[in-house]
Amino acid sequence: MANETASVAVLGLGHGGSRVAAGVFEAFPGDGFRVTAADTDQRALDSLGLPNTIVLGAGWAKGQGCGGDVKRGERAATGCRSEFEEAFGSTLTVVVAGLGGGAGSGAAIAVARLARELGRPTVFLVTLPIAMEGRARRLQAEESLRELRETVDTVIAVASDNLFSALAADTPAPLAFATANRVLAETVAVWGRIFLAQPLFPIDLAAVRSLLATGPMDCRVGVTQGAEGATPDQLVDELKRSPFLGGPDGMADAEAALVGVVGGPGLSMGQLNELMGRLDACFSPNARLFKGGGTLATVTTGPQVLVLTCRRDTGANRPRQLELFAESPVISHGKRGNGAVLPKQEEFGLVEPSLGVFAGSDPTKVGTENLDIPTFQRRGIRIDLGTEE
Amino acid sequence: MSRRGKRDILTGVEIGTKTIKALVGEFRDGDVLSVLAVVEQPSLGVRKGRIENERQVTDQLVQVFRDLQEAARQEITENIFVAVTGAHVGTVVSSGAVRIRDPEAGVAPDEVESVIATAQTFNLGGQQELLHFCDRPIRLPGGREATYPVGATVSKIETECMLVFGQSQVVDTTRELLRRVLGEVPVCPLFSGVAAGLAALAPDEIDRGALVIDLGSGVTEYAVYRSPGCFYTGQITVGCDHLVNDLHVGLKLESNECAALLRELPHHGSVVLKDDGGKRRMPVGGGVVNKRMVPVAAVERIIDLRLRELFTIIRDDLDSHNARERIQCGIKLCGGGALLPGIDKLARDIFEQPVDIAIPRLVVADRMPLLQSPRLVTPVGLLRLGRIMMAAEEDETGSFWHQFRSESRRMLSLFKDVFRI
Repeated sequence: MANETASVAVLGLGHGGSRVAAGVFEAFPGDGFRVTAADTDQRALDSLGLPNTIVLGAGWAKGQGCGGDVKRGERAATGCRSEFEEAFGSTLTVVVAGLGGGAGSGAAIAVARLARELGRPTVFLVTLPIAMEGRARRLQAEESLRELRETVDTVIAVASDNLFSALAADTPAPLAFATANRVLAETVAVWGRIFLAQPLFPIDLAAVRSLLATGPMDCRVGVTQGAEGATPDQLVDELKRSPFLGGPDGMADAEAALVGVVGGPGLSMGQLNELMGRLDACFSPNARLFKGGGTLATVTTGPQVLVLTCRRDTGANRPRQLELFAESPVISHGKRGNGAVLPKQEEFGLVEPSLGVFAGSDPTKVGTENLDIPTFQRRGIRIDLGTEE
Repeated sequence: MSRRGKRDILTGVEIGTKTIKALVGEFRDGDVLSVLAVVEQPSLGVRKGRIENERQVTDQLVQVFRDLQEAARQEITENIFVAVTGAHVGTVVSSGAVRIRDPEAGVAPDEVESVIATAQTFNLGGQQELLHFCDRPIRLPGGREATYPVGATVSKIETECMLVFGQSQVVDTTRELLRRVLGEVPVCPLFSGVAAGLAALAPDEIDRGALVIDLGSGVTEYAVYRSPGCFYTGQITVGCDHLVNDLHVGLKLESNECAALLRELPHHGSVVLKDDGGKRRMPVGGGVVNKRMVPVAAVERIIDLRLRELFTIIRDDLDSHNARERIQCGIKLCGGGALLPGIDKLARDIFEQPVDIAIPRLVVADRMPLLQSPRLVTPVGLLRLGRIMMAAEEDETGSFWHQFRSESRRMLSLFKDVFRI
């Protein structure tokens, strides 16, 4: 396998992505995926027990992490170009990363650019931080997501907050995070299996692009590994309990969805027909559905189902929107008579969009966008000017 | 305009955002343009293709024409064609339909002329001046198209005409400035986007369908050509000046330093981003010691984003007018922006078609190397388009684009004769 390009590859970036990649490798060893994890933290990578790892920024970060700095993460990843080229699969690469930190976000952007340059079919499955990780991390994740979407058109962003809609509040925290990693690993693996499967009615990346094409979408995923002998109703019930699907109605309110089923060679037309019928009934009649199904010899249990649901992202769940060019908020404090410190109203240092030499000229507008403002500025993309050497 | 039999010297003038270019030439046998003189000067009073300082532009035109007439050893008094561009230029598509009198007898020639004339009839309003009208293929029932469907046994024919117009005040200003310099001479304004294709494309490319994009400093024009002529054209006031400005804002450098970076880019990188973690660096500014170095990837990133956006806007505009599907022979890039390294690759990514850098076709001159540049495609195109306009005026039997079709076929025939194809 080391010298061949695997058909389907899994690439986990950063702390979260690496753990998901390790989950895929551990739970699905016989599937033939090439699994690679990449992180700046060498000790964390070593603990995963994976045959393929990439230490980002080995030369300068000394294997210690990039301190949550996205640009450092990006620089570290671009230095490992040849290793990433080897990590891609020939049919599909599923890239997994948790956004909000430095290595995952930065490496995702660098890998996206490389995938586009090389023309490699790739799907990015990224998670957004949970609310308790803080607003700054969430904002950083949103910025990285925006930049990622500028680069590739197959980005599935899943809100980690959906996890808590399915788990009880008294679930031990380590178990909750382990469940999240397990579900994501299963999602990645079933996705990979769908692409490896002998197609009965195929589904491809064009369907994913079409699903995501109308603009930023709030995406949720559900997956079920059917137990042997499970009925379609049981499979659908298990699917509805999927932590990232957003609850039992997670499919009912979807505007569009991708539904993939992969079974073993013994999957019958009757079973497939009945299962698809049950799944259809979970969605609104107006939902746009992309369906695919196939069989794979390595599937020895009942049919496995993957559902990716999309609804237009209204931004309702995002942190309060700052001005596009806002810098970090500055909070000034007043004092009470007793010396205790009170926060005052937040003040934001605003950066005016720069027109440069076009200030004062008739603006060039397409739609509502003023094209005289630099493209990178309108897209919120930070330009890495490097470090002084 | 001159009559046949007399030596026809034509002059083309492009008053661009960065440079003013003027060219004098005459057509020889074999459809070859013999260029007698070319003059170029920095342009100071123009922004986004629009003249903002008339006095400055007039002074520059005086110098340009003095040098041009001296170099050509010719006084310029007629056959002057000036390029017009900018945000004031627009296009509108007008349609026409004719019911055939006797479907069994087939479409009559006057019915073809009638449907074309109906499509060409459009009230632009008093503040617009018509620059070109470009016929489109005639549609027959069942989705078929034909350029001249005489004899077809159909009940109805329809067609469209694309009209290119400019704001009268702006076009008049341009005309007026040239008259201030040259006296009361006839000046014919032509849209740059339409002119460029005639210099960049071979006749069979025009027949089969091609896109020409002229990337200037202040304006980018684009035109899809497909038999019988120019199918669709447009402009957007975004050009290489926007690249310089983006670098100025992104790298926090002076504009002149950014312009120099752009000129030096071929030695260090290209317009297509190649991520290298900041390894490649290029120097900024003058001085031998203590030069500031900037990451090449940062320069590429800024330019890559802007150019991808520009090409995407053009592509989407073409799609919305069903023009992109007409392109069979690929895309030609011209103008100063076509000299940017890697721009053909970037355009190929966006349009998913073969892309070439165009230079003026079928020209001869004493200083040929000067003419082998995409920057001179539009000035040469002005002369080619001007010649068609002159022929259309002299021949009253057909519409302008009938003439264009005739000229195209004549060019193709001569081209084949000359090169023994």
